[in-house]
Amino acid sequence: MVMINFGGVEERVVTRGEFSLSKAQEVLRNETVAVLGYGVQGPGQSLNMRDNGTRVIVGQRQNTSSWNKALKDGWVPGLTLFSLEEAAAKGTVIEYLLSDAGQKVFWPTLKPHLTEGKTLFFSHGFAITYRDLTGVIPPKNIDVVMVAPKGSGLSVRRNFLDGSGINSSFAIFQDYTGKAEERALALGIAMGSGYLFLTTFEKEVFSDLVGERGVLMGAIAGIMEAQYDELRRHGHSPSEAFNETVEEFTQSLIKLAAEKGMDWLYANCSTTAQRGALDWKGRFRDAAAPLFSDLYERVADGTEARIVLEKNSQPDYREKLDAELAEMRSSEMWRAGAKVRELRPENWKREA
Amino acid sequence: METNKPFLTVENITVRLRDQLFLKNSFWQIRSDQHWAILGPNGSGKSTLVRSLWGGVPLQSGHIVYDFASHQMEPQLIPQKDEIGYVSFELQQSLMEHEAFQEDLREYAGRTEEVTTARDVIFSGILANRTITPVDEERFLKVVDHLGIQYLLQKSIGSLSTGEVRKTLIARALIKSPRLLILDEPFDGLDERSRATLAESINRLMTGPMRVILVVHRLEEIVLNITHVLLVKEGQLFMQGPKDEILTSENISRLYGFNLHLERTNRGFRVSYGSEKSDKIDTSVVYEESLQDVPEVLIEMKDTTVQYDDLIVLDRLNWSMRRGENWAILGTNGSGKSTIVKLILGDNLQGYANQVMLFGKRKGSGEILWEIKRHIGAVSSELQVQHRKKMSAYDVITSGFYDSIGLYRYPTPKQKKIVDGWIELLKIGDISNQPYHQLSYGQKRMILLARAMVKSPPLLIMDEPCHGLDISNRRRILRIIEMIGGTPTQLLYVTNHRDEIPNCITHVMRLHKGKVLSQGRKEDIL
Repeated sequence: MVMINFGGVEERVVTRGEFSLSKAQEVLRNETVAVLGYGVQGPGQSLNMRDNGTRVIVGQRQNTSSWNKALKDGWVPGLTLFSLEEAAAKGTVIEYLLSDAGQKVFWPTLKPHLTEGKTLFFSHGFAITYRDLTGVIPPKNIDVVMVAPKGSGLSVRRNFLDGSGINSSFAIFQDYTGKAEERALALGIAMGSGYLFLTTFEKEVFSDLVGERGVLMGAIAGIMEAQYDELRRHGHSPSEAFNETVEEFTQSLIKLAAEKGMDWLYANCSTTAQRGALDWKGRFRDAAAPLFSDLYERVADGTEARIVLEKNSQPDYREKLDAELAEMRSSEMWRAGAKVRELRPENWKREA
Repeated sequence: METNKPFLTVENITVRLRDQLFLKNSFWQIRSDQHWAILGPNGSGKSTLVRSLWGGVPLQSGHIVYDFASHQMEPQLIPQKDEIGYVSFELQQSLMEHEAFQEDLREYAGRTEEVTTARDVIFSGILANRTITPVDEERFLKVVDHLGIQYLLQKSIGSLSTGEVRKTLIARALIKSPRLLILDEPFDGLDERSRATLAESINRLMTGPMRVILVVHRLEEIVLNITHVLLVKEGQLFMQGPKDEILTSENISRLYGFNLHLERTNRGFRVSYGSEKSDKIDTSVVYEESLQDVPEVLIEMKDTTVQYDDLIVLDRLNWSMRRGENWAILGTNGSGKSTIVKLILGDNLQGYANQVMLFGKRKGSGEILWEIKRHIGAVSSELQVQHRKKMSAYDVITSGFYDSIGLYRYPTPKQKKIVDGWIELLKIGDISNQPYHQLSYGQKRMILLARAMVKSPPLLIMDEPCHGLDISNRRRILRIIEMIGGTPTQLLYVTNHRDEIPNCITHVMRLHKGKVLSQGRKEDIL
């Protein structure tokens, strides 16, 4: 166990030095890992584990595009590719990688196959954390663990093939056999993780939901709209407003921040930008702070989760959702954006 | 009829590529009754020159006069992109990179059935500027017919072979009915038959008013209707004039810097190496006898089939490669030869759905992919494309010890010595410290060969290793391969070109449309 210092606070991190691939193979030697759901995380994790010598089978609904993808990826029906239920019966480690809504629906069918000593594995803490809403209440005589790679299924696979890895968080919800942590780490290493960070199911979900409603998607789009509208109100053209709100951010600034940190960006930009950014950063933070407080509360008390589950089960949800998305897509800002993207000089279609 | 009027004039130009100046103060003129071929070593500046013609590379000084678009008193100096069609490997690579990114987006969105078809690519140049008109549709049908590519129009470009993508890009260039067609290495990646039909198509295109510029590495690819030749050497225009005047043994030898003999046949040109003392290549300093036990059978494939929906790419292949054998796989475009390579390297996942045995281990029996990769060094244009990260060529070579794309570990002093040794052996000292992504296509190939060999692998796989290399580099690489054939490393050599098969090859497999036509000892098959 290694403690790594993050900004003055020590966190527990597991490295490959501590838990090697051969150790992982040893731990998983007699296990059959059943990956339920060949959607997003499913392919990345299962393909990596297979290449790392783990015995893996895939469970997937037939006659879907995911089933066809599994065939193309070398999974053989009856040998390594099964229906969801059959895979659950055959597996000793069940990777429950269906969508949040899918996990709730399939749970009653899955539960009887979670026999004593098996491992129930998640890559997201939603179903367990909000179990009063989802109904996913695991039997007491199994291990329940999580490894959540910090990236899409695609980057999990791609980084593995490149020979690097992807960092992941891990958590233990229930340790019946006494081997839960060992198994979780073995699975994490087998699927191509680099560093593994300790967390809890609850913390993983709360930070995830806050993130997507906050900075990662909700807040950022909201702030962009606010700035764009203000610039337009004062007569700036759509392209100019878009460039100063989105394009320069995505095409240049955020990439520098990704490489060196926002603090580096602040220290190395023009003095005009620097002075202004420093002065206004605090004001924006303070204006947003109450919103983040509200947001966290609503995530923690289950309100946000309830909204997601309720809305998704309404019959006309698809229609209403499409209307919301269409509104965003046909907004002046994002249509202006499409045009700006088209005119980027490096657009390959503009070659002769 | 406009005979002998200026068509395009390059007046005293100097071209800027990144931070360096090339082709300083160059003069060149194409007249309306001429078709030009441009010939020169890898990295000499040929591609830079033709890219400057359509504005892909900026001019530092001088100008290009587009006489064909000029009116009475006013010379046209702005690049006429709509009138110039262009096909090159770099364009092909941009297209594939763009498509890879689109596939990422589709994967993210769960829309894995969406594809970019060949038809989409053919119209893409037009769609970037306007919508498709009936005139475009008409031209489309003619061009497609001319190139014989009806069968692949609805296929995704990700599923096409290199040669098929090439033809698609040529169609894309032709559809705007350009005045000038620039083809940069159009034959590379095409099998013999496709090369012959493409040469025929190009010759036919040259009988109309459209002018053609052909950039080639191989003199043999200078088609009959070429009238003039431009030689480019070390970033300068070396010589230019009528074909018969310029193409002499002496000029070609001066161009490449060693003795070459040029012969004119009724089918075109043939080049052979002149007499020259061959320096002995000593590999003992870099080559480490493999400490791994190599089993009697290196590779075995039983009834191996690779299939995507209805398309069968490999049909019940039965093949084995034994210790001491060096194999060549010969096949046309789309025959399945690259699929065999991908099955061995683990890049094709259907290896797990078949009976494939690698180095004594059955695929899917609990072996680790990286342990297999440790036995194998590979060189292919696919691998070349995968190296998109920005890193030094030296680091690319070093990554060969770890089979990684990108360098994630520090090499030991011993490993460094081996890297340096291979750099010297392949004579790539001048490029190994440069950023890999800035090297020319041929230069990258040499770097990848060094990368493949640093771990002295029991098996070296080469998928079209000479593709894109000029005559000098081709000779170098073939001599190195010949030399490797004499070491314990065994070879698997995949190619379109019969005449490129090294002497050290002992066995040959001929593939056609996923089926084996014949396989066995070289003498029996060829």
